[in-house]
Amino acid sequence: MKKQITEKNTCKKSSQLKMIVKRFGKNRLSIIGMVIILILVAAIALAPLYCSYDKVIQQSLSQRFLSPSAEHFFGTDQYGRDLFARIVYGGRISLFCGLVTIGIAFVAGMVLGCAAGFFGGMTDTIIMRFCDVLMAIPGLLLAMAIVSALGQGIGNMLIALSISQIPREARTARSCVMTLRNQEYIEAAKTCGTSRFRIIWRHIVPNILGPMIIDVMMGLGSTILRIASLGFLGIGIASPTPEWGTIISENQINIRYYPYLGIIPGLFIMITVLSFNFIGDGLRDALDPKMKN
Amino acid sequence: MSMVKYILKRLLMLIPVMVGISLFIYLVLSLAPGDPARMILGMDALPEDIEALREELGLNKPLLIRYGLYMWDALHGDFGTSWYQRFDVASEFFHRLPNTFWLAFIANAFSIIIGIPVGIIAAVRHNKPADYVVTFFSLLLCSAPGFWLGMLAQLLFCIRLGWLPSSGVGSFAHFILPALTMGGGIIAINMRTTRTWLLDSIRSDYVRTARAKGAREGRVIVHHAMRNSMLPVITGLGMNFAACMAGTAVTETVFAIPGIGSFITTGVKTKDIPIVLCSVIIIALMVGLVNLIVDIIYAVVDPRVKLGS
Repeated sequence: MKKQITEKNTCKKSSQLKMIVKRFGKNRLSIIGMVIILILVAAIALAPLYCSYDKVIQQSLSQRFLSPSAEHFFGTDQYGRDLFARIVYGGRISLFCGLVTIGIAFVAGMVLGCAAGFFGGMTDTIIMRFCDVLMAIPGLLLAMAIVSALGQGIGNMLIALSISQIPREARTARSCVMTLRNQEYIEAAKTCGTSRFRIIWRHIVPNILGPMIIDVMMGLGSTILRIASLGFLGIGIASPTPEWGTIISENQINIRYYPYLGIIPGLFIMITVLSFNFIGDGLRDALDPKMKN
Repeated sequence: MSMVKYILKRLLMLIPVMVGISLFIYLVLSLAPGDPARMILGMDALPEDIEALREELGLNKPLLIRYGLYMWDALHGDFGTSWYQRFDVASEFFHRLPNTFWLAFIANAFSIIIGIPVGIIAAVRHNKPADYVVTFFSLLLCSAPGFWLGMLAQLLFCIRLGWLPSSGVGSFAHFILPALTMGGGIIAINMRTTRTWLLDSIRSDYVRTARAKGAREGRVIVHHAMRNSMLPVITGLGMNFAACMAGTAVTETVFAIPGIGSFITTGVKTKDIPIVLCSVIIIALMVGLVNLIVDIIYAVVDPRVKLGS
C-alpha cells in the first residue's frame, strides 16, 4: 500500500515538472535566452581548449590596436592583448561572480525570509527592519561603501554585492511564506506534531522555490551589471585581470579611435543580461500559470 | 487623519530608519583595516604625532561613543573633514549636490516625458509591430550597462557629430546625454509599467462601458483607462529616484561631472572614509524623503488610499 502511494506521488511530481518544462518551451524568447546562455557557458568553460590564458595578459607593442581579423577575432587593445581572449576569460569572472553573489543571496535570503515569515513576532521585526535599513541605500552605493571598508578584491566584492542583494531575496521569501503560513496543510502538519524545522524544509521551502528562482534569475542580470559597473569605476576587479566592465574601462580612452574596443565587451554584457532576463520572464510564466490568467 | 499628521508621522518613522542606516554604515566603515591616523600621516610618522592625531580624530574612544559623537556633529551639519585633503566634507557635498540633483531631475523628467507616452502607444497597439518594437527596446535598455550606453552616445553625438558637449557642466546641453544615460533604465521601466497596467485597465469592465456608451477611443484611453493605470507608475517614481542615485557614480565618471557620484567614487578609491560616510547617509535620507513625497502624491491622486491606515 505504501509503495503505491509513493509511486503515485512521484508520478504526479514528474507530470508537474513536465508541464512547467512544456510551458517554458512555448516561450520563444526564453528558449533563445537559454540557448545563448548555454553557448556562452560552453564557450567560457571550454576556453582553455582553444585559447590559452597567455593571450589574455601577453603584451606586445608590435601588435597594438589591430582591427578585428581572422587572427584576432575582436582585434587587440593598447597593449597588444587579444580582445577575444580577454572577453572569453573575462566572461569566466563576470559569470562566476554573478552566480556566487546570487547563490549567497539566495541561500541567506531564503533562511532569513523563512525565519521572519514563519516565526513572526520579534524575529520578523528584527530581520525585516534590518532589511529595510539595507534597502534604503541604493544597491550599488551600498556595495561601494562596503568595498571601501573591506578593501578591493574579488572576495570582498562578492561579499559587498551579496549583502546588497540579500534583503530583496529575504523579502520575496518572507512574503511567500506569509501566504503559506496559515494554509490548512501547514496546520495539518503542525497538528501531526511535525517539527518546525521539518515543516519549513519539507512543506514551505518547496512551495516558495518558484518565486525565489524567478527573483534570482532577474537578480542575476542586475548583479552582472553591478559587477561591470564596479569594474568600470575601478573599484571592482582590478586590471589586468579581465572582467567585462574592467575591459571597457581600460579601453575607455581609446574608443574614440578604436570603437570596437568598447562596443564588443558591452555587447557581451548586454546579451548576457538580456538572456537572463528572458529566461526569468519565461520561468515566471511557466512556474506561475495563475499570474497569466 | 489629516495630511499634516500623516506627514509628521512618516517623518517620525524615518528617524529610526536613518539611525539604523547611519549605525550600520558607521560600523561597517570602522571595520576598515589599518589605523586611519597612520594612513593620514604616512608610514614614517612619529608615534607621538600619530597618538596626537588619534586623540584629535577621537579614535581612542569606544566605537559606539564615536558613533554618537559623529551623529551629534552630523545633526549640526558637520560631517567631519576629509582625511587626505583636509576639506570640510559636508560643504563639499552640498557644493556638488546641485549638479547631481539636476541630473537626476532631468533623468526623471525624461523617463516621464518619453517613457509614459511610448508605453501608451505600445498598449494601444498591443501585439502590433509598434508594441514589439517598444517592448524590445525597453528590454535592451534594461539590459545594457548604463556607462556603456553613455560612452557610445558620447562617441556618436559629441565626438563624431559634435552636437553636444562631451563632458563637464554649465548648460542644459551638458546635461542631456548624462541624463539619458542615467535615465535609460528608468525610461524602460516607465514604458513597461505604463504598458502593462494600461493593458490591464483597457480590458476592464468600466472601459468597456465607456466604449459602449459611445465615447471616442482617445477619450476612453486618456480619460478612463489612463487614470487608474498611472498609479503603479507613480508608485515606481520613488524607486526610480533610488535607481538614479545608484547610477550617479558611473554616469558622472563617464561625463566627468563634478557631482556626488564622482565624490563617492573618489572617496571609495582613496579610502577617504568621511566622504563615503557623509554621502551614503545623506543619499539614504534623500531617498527616504522622496519616497515620502511619492506616497503623498499617491494619496492625493488616489482617493481610495486612506492616509495612515
